Amino acid sequence: MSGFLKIAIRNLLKGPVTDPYPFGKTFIPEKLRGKLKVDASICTACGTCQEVCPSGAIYIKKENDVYVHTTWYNTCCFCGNCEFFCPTGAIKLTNDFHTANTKEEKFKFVTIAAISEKECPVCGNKFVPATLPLIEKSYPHINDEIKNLMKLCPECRKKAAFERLYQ
Amino acid sequence: MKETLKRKIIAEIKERLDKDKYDIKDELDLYGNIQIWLKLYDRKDILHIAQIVKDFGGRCVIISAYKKDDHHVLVYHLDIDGILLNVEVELFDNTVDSITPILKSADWTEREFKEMFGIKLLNHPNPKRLFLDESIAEGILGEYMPLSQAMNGAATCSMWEKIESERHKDEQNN
Amino acid sequence: MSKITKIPIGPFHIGLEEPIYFKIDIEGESVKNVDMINGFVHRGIEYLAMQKNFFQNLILTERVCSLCSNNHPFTYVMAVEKIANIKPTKRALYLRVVADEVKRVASHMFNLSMLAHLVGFHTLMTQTMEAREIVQDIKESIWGNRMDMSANTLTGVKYDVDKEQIDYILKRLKELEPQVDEIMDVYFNNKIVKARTKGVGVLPYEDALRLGVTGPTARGSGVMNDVRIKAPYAAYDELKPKIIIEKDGDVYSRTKVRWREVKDSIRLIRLALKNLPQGKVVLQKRPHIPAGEAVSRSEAPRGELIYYLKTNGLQKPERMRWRVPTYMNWESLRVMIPGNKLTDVAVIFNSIDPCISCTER
Repeated sequence: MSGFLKIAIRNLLKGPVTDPYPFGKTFIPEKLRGKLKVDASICTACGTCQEVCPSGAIYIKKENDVYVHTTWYNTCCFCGNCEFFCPTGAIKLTNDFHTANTKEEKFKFVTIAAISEKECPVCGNKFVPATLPLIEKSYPHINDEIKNLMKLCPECRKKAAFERLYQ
Repeated sequence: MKETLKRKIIAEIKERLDKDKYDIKDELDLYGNIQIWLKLYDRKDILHIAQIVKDFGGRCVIISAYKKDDHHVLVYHLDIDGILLNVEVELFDNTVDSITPILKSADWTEREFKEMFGIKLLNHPNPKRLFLDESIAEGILGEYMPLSQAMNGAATCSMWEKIESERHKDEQNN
Repeated sequence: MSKITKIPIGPFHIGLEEPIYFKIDIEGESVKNVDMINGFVHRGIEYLAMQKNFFQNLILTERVCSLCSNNHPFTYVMAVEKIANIKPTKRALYLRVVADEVKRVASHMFNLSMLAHLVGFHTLMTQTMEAREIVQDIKESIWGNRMDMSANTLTGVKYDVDKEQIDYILKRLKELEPQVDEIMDVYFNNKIVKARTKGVGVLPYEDALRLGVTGPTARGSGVMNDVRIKAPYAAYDELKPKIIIEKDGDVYSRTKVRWREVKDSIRLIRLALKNLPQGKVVLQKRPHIPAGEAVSRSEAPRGELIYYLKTNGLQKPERMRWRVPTYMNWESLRVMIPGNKLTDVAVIFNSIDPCISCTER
């Protein structure tokens, strides 16, 4: 018993090890996987997150000319698959772990990002353009020409690129 | 060392089984681990294989069952001192001889495929139910049952409709 | 005196962590016979896995079990990589080992603290749990969750460690090791613990071999079938885990095996971080998976874990089957329990480190 007595006395001197959370501070690591943050300006509404989500917590729906990206936390298991597979880096998991909610709030417990379609300056068709972080992955150097082409819809872009080749 | 053991096992299989009743191949991974893949054409030969494994002091790791077209296929995974022997048997009459009298370690897994897939098991020493209750029919899990989407773990349409309607309500209030 | 009394325990009982139904026949104080009925948490995860694509299954397999959660996706990705014929980089393999060994330390220490709880030594239990909290902090800080680390992905790992994070892990391990040494000594030499574990729940070598038990349960009975040594995978061929074996086959031996494995795991984490090769951590996030079949094995904290995967070139597995270590260790309880006192049943049950939810899937 003497072996444990030493530990017990040391513990007595050390004081409590538990944190008085929520009344005091507690240890929250930077990398803790909590609620999502979706950056609508980077997202291209490609649907990868919806496909890889194991629990079906992500749902993307088109409403008029806006793609609504909804994450419902009552199904989310905070696995971070969406963050890992997101091709643009628009989804980031924050370390906000506060997920207690009342029954009335059940269906309101969501994160919403609205990705609006842009108008093509040439033909006026609406589309979701590729965003800069996505283009940066494909091209090492991005010049103004690429940036201008990004603004065009796929059809007009094909045309513009073809014309550029034969001029 | 593993290579000699592999050769011994294969020689033993060749000796005990008829020549045209099986296909054998072996694979070697980058770590030097050996896996032998054996396909048996006669389901009764599994008893010989089990005996070989017992003679080498091996054990049954698991048996995987799956449905192929209209019949079941069993894949026995047997371990002999780090060498994995995978034996594929197609069951055209939905019946198989139990290897539990030879290898005790196959007890649970045989009972599991019996009740989950409804495969008939001959000469099992303890053919009690493993997971399912006696009141539930054998092989019931293979039957088609129109469950709601929610049972598949997917979020249902009505759930998303509710979430959307809550959002629209909020938008109108603001 | 020779009257046999039947005592039912479970399926839902205050003393049980998971649902299981024991029927115990006792004569006087000693157990004559034990019967176990299971199937209360069969959830059909194997079927569910066939409805999900390969990326969703990374997470689904992790949710099969909480304490060996990292081993499930680990073994699953090895099976997929075998079919797709992809070899991850050395760095990824080393990082997989780091994640796995951290999990092993946490899992073993949890089981051992439960042992202290069951023998009635509660201060020892809290002390073990407190030391384990260091490992939990490491998991939270590096992977972002206390249990489900989400470390593995097809063709690599999802996380990378920089200098700062390596230093953090090493710093915390330095804190952990003296505590482990101290607590381990109590488990090995304390009178109460020894009285309740020595000679209790003996599984002889022959029975261990016959039943095909795995993990610390087998190694406590002198059967050496550690997959990390018998059929090396990931970076275990280079890191070389120690062979840890005890001969007596009682609860005390299994306890000793677990503690010595905790020590060895700490050594392996340090070694892996020291020799961490440079390179990418993931090759292709979404590789193409052709048709084929493969079997992969790994050593989970409780023993051998095996995955059988059959694909048909589509996005979902055609058949996926796995077997967890408890599935094999279960039958050994029929050998261990009879002949012991009723009060020891819980201690013996705990000594195989049972996980019912992953046994029944």
